[in-house]
Amino acid sequence: MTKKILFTGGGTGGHVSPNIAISQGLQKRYPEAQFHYVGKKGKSEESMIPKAWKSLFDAGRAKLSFVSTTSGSVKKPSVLFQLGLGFVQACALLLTQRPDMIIATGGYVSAPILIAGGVLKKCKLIRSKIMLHEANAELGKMNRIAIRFADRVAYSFPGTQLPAEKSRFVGYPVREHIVSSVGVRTEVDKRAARETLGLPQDAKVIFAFGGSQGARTINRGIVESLPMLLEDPDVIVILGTGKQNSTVYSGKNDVKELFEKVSPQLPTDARERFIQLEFIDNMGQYYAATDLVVCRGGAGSLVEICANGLPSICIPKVGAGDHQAVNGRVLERLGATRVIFESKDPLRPANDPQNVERIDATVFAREALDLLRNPELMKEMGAIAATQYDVATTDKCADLVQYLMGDSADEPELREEPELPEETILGKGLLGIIVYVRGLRNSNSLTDEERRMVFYKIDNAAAANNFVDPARACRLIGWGRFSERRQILEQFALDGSKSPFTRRDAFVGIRLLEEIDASVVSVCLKGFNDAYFETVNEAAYALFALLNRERINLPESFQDRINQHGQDIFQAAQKLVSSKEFDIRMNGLALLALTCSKLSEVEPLLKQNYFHPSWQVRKKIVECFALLIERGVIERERVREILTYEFLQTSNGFAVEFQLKSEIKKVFNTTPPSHT
Amino acid sequence: MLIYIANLFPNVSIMNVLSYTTTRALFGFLLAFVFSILMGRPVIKWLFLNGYRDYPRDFENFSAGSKQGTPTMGGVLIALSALVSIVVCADLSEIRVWLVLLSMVIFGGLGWFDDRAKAKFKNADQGASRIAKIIPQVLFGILLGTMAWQNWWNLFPSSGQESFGDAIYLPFFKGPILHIGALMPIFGIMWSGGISNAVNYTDGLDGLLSVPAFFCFLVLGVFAFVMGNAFIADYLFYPFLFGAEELAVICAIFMGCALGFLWFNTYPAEVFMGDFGALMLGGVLMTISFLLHKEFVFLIVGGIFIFQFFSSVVQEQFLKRKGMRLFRAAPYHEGLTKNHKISEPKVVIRFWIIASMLAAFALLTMKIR
Repeated sequence: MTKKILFTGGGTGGHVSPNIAISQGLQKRYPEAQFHYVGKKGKSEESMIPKAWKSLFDAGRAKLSFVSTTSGSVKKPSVLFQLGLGFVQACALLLTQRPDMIIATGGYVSAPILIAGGVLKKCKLIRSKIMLHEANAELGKMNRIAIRFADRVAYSFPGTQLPAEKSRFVGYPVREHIVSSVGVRTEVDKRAARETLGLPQDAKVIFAFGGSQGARTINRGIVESLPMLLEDPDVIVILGTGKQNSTVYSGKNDVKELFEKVSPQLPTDARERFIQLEFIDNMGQYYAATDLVVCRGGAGSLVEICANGLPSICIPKVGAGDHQAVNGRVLERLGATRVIFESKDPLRPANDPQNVERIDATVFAREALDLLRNPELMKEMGAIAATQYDVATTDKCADLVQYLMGDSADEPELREEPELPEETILGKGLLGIIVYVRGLRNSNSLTDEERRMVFYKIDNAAAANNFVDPARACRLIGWGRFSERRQILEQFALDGSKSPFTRRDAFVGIRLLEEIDASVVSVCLKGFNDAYFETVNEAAYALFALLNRERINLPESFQDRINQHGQDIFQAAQKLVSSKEFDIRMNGLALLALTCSKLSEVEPLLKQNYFHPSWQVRKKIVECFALLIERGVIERERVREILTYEFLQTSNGFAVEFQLKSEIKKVFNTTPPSHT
Repeated sequence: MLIYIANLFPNVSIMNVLSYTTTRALFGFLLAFVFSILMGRPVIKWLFLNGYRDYPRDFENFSAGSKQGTPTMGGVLIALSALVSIVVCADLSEIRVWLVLLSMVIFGGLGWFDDRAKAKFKNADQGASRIAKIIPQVLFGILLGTMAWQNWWNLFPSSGQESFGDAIYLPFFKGPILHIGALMPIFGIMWSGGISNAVNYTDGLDGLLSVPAFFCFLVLGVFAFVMGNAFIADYLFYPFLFGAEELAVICAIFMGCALGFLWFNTYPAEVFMGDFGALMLGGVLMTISFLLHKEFVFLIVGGIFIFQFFSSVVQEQFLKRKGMRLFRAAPYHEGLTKNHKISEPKVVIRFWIIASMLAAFALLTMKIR
């Protein structure tokens, strides 16, 4: 009986090419089998599959069909409808075709087949085995859902978080024609390649590329760093700018313009030592001739670099789920690459189309020159990279498929997974990082690696054009006491174009950062004029908390600050005291009590609130009196008099304690906790 | 059952008393209350033992101040006493009674699924999904709306030329303001989905739902009695609905249930109503107000529910669209207890006072038209 094997997944070439590679491995083992690809019309699979499966189509053993599917949130009716339609199509397709094997690489294109396949399998209507292949180091959204239906999940990067019983580490299957063009290079290859390409034998060659469409960050980063890179007379930079016909971004023109801009700073022979290419059809030769590669963090590119055993600098693309960054970090943790993170400028408006992701050219140039001047280190990195590529990956995928279809009795032995140091920051959401950083707050034990990744997360979250992420970034800066990013807080706090929550959390961040100087004071004072009540409240609370901390820890500098700003703060706080929001009024009173110089200044304002309907305001007054006593502004006796005869002591609030539960608690805690 | 007993002795005049609406309503009120009190302890024990409560996760943080661990889904108590009292006191040959019972089953069932999911996952966010909840509500709304529009079983009899079923009545207006005809099912969907959820949103503090619901049943009961009584309906220019006075009996029964439940639920609560009770009460209130076409009067007397619902919905939209809060917390009572730190009994009793004022205002619409 001929086997029927169904492939799905697509949308981008990255999802299609592992499928093609696996199918190439299977063709040898099943020369009779029927191959079927299910994709979405108009996506890359439509053009890639007929080319790759040409011989199969000619022999009538291949089929390409399309289902309705779309990306986006299933809460949207249109998305739900398209996916529902796709589900019905997929059910019909699976029930008529009855494939023995479903192989999926993830992506929304595979959603209809995977969900229909999973449901039909649960209902015992089909008997197909399902194998997922995850190309990236972080599980994609669709694969995360589909994992419960799958018999096996094959993954490409060591350390991918997956349930152990189903997952198998196989690596990233590379297509045949690419395998033949690469291979661990030798000195002889290098010499030959340089000769063909006309490069001097003793030059230090950097080869940067951003894929067929080009990568703006890499193009700009390289050109901006040219003045520093080309200072070394041996350095040659080769840049693959990407095809010009892209409608979104034209790499060639962009690089040309930018190059003209930096050319005055360049040495005279710069034009000979900077080579830009629109597209590269002999990648193998460039790989062979180069010393250092600069590339994106896509699984495909990284595998090619590993296959060539080259040291690299990886500039991962910021995007959904950070998967490129995670890929790059896996190799960096192993020691095969250096990762430089790109980000938008958080200090520029988030919706400005000119504000695009970029890298710091100085950091990049320093990193690159550092590597180029250290051939031993580069050699070592290249060697580690080479261990990460296994020529037999495609075969091993085919072995696994063969086992699942019941054609081989034993599950194949797979690659051994290298041990990785634990990743603490990347792969967590912002809230997860906040929890982690908050836990470390007092030990201050973030490593330099972790700090770099936290800054990457902060910068991109702060630059995000939504309500939630910039606000979380602000809190993260505060919890980690990242003084380097204080400017973000100070700017966001007063930026009316940010969401009210962002402005509020910027003040929360300022408070948690625990740094006070003249600019913080003036930011807080300006924050008092914010239109949103929570922001005003947090601004007042932040200023109070910072000043009070300084008063306790550094009384002298506190006195200086009061001498300098006391009058401004006092006047601004007076305005807060008449606010109709009880919490703003509370913080205003606290500020007054902290900054007043004599009792007569503050007593009338306190007195106005002795009968305030909110008991919390009155509670704050009691706290203010405590502070005033401590500062020696008022006598304890006088306070006793006021609180007894002039002050409303009854309140609407009390804390309950269930007496039975407190008894139970005593049993749990052998040492009863002191009441705090 | 009372009617059945009265019919057994047609010649004994003292037995005849049992068939009067007022007698049955008051008896039902007392019966429901007494039954709730008697069943309270066993039901609480049963709920606790069957896991309808949340568990403290770690004993380190076991708080003597928190309500964690209180049995929930006390709506069972309401449902039990209501069922028993309806069987005893109401006239089971009346279709309206069966519609109310159907709403109890549907909305109570929804709440039960929710409570069970929460108990199973031990997490308040793991309830039944929104869509799963909305479908039965929509279906019931369509049923009600179509029934009114097509005047099934003559539950919405037209008086002369004027049709009653598809009419919209506003408070302070004598006649119908509008006939919406085939749009009635859509109105039914909005009413069914909106009101039951609004009532559900209000549940959150001890006794916050029982007493406003009590006043709602009181006002609706008065209206049901008026519209089901030919003389009074005629005197007050209301359309006469034959058999609607059974709804007055049911309202009285639920008043008894609400008080009986409050006995255990008042601060500090020994049992919570849960989604089962809240959705069920919402469903019953929604059904009765719809059957009497007193929707807009209900919006007044149930103003607390509407306000709580409104505060939640508006807050959510503000969070989503503007990235800011309108209220300190939502539903509104959360802000009062958590931010203003007003003690819970105070907040709850103030809500009761407002509910009683709204009830008085709603009754005022009976005469001032």
